Amino acid sequence: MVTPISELVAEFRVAAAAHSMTVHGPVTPAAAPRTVADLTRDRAAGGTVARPIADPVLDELGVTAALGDLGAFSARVSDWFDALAQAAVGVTGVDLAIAETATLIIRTDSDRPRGTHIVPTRHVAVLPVGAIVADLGEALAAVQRSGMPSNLSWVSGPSRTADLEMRPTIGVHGPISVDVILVDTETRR
Amino acid sequence: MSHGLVTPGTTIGERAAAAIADPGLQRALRNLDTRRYTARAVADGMPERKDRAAAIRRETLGDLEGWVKRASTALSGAGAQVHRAATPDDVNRIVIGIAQRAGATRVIKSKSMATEEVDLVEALGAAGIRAIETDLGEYIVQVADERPSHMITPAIHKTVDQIAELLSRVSGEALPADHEAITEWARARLREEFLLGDLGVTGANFVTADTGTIVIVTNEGNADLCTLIPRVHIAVVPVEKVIPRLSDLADLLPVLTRSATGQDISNYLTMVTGPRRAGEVDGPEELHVVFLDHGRLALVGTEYEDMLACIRCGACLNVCPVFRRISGHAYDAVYTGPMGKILTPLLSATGEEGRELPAASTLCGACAEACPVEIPLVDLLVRLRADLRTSGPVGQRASARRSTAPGELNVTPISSGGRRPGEGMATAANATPLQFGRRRSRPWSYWAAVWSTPRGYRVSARVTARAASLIAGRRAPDAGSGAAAGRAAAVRWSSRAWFGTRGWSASRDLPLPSVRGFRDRWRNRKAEGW
Repeated sequence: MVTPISELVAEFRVAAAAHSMTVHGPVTPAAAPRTVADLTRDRAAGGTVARPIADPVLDELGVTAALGDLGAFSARVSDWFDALAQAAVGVTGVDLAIAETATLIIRTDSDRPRGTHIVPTRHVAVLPVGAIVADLGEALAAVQRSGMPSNLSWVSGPSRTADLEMRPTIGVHGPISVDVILVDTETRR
Repeated sequence: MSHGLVTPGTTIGERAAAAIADPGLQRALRNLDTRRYTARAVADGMPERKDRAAAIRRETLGDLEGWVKRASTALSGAGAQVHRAATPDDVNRIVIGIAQRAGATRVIKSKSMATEEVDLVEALGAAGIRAIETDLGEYIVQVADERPSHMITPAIHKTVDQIAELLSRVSGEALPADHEAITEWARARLREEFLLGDLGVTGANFVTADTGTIVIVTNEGNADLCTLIPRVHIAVVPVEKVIPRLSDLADLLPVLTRSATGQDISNYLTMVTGPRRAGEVDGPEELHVVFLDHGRLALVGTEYEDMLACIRCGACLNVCPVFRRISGHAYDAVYTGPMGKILTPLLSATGEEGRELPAASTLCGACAEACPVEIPLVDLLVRLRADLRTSGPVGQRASARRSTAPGELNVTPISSGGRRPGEGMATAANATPLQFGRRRSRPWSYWAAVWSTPRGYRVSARVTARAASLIAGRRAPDAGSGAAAGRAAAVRWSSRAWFGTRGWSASRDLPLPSVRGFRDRWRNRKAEGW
């Protein structure tokens, strides 16, 4: 039995709130570039924005072009890593996510470096609702079907520690915030 | 810093007494409240998940060497270089060798109990290689020149005031005793280290034998950074971390995070399959996996085999009434709490480390109940107590004693510092009596003497029962034992709170003593209609 997308979205929302992530949308594909650009500008607060060299989700929605208007840079710049370390926001597309735990699964390849989501101060993720699967088991099966990349990062919230008196504290190494922009798409993965 | 598993000189009794008398430690330990996890875990279908996770962990134990070989093949296929280390020294030699060949001088580390076990940071330091722990808790204990006191929250033994004071010495300015402020400072401080690191060292929570994937669980995201910035990544992996399939993670990961921190999933999860590939712009050019044995393979097929199922979640520490009072340092071992009491003597090549640990237990069974992979921790503790009455390495004797599947005993070649077959075998002649805690005081020796004979025991039991019923105000057997009278007597009895029971009976009633002892009643069992 296939769970309707609307149910998966509802479950993702609940889990994301529990994981200190902020969910926006779903917005229409047509509205996605504008929404992502506006939110990214707001989160960057004058700082720089990093993006993948190419990303199937961002490219197809026209988000990559919209980010270009913001002056977003990619690993095509010569001093990519130094620039990344200074970036205020890293934007990634997400082509696989888990509803149960609000997990974004971020794949590495030659167009999508490992560092984009983890090094900058904030993370903005663009997630087509059709990319959401129900649980960890389904996600692992999907990952294995498409072949293991050199690196997979499973993100279920901002960088967090409980090492000081077991009190959850945000932003210890990686992003201090994770924003997820849901995009209404027809197709499921 | 620590050398080997245990530093000699004190007994656990002395260290426990010191821990209980330390007000700062006791204040810090109040933060170790994990009751909230339990309710949520049950709602999430934990019992079923635990059964499945336990079964998966046992699957590799029948043929652990075979599974390590399968994982090695998959890892190599993905481009990783696989090394086998029989001893802690072997791990350190291999890691230092890789670092020197790569010209690496600054190591950034994510949290790993295996590297604690082999004292890697210390060994690297001795070789002139600077290693920085990047997990916040590990960083704090590294600055304090201590060992982690808890495998999930390494600095649980410190209050935020103590941590602020400690880190102020590093920063050169007074840090406020504030969680957010300290975290923000640590972020900036450790960022500098990340950017300079040329070798990343991690452990692994699991390694999959089918895809050759290294799985690392963090909330901080520091494993992502350790595997993306440096040119070389080394994962130090105890052999039992191998799991058959990537799909097994669907049960193992939720069970691990729920038991460790009550989370349904960790905030970050890093899966590494091989080094950087052609065309990729970041990630390590070289990936090494160092499989650590250190006596583990010799445990396969023994009565202690179940201990290899452990996933290092820390649940048994969190529920242990002993750990919750004395914290990790009192054990003076890398692995602490219930699992540490068992694993430390088992991993000891000489049989000397951790010999006193199995006795530091009330056998209450909370650990076994909490264990998400169903390790019979109490049974193992009891068995170890018996086996440790004689000297020599326990795992070795356990192997020698068992009769099934002799082929599994052909363990990997042993190098320096390892144990050899027959070495350290226990005999009555070289057995040394264990001394736990402080020297036995005089009243206790009288007590021991009286109870050493059946007659002494009988008399003392009768005297005690009579004395107790006098104090309880109970005169004749079962006379006036209506509910109200019984309750009144119980309250009276509890409120007297003699022999130092006041603290215990403050929130509960002491059961009323029976006027007639068990032996009396047994003798008259026919008359009483048993």
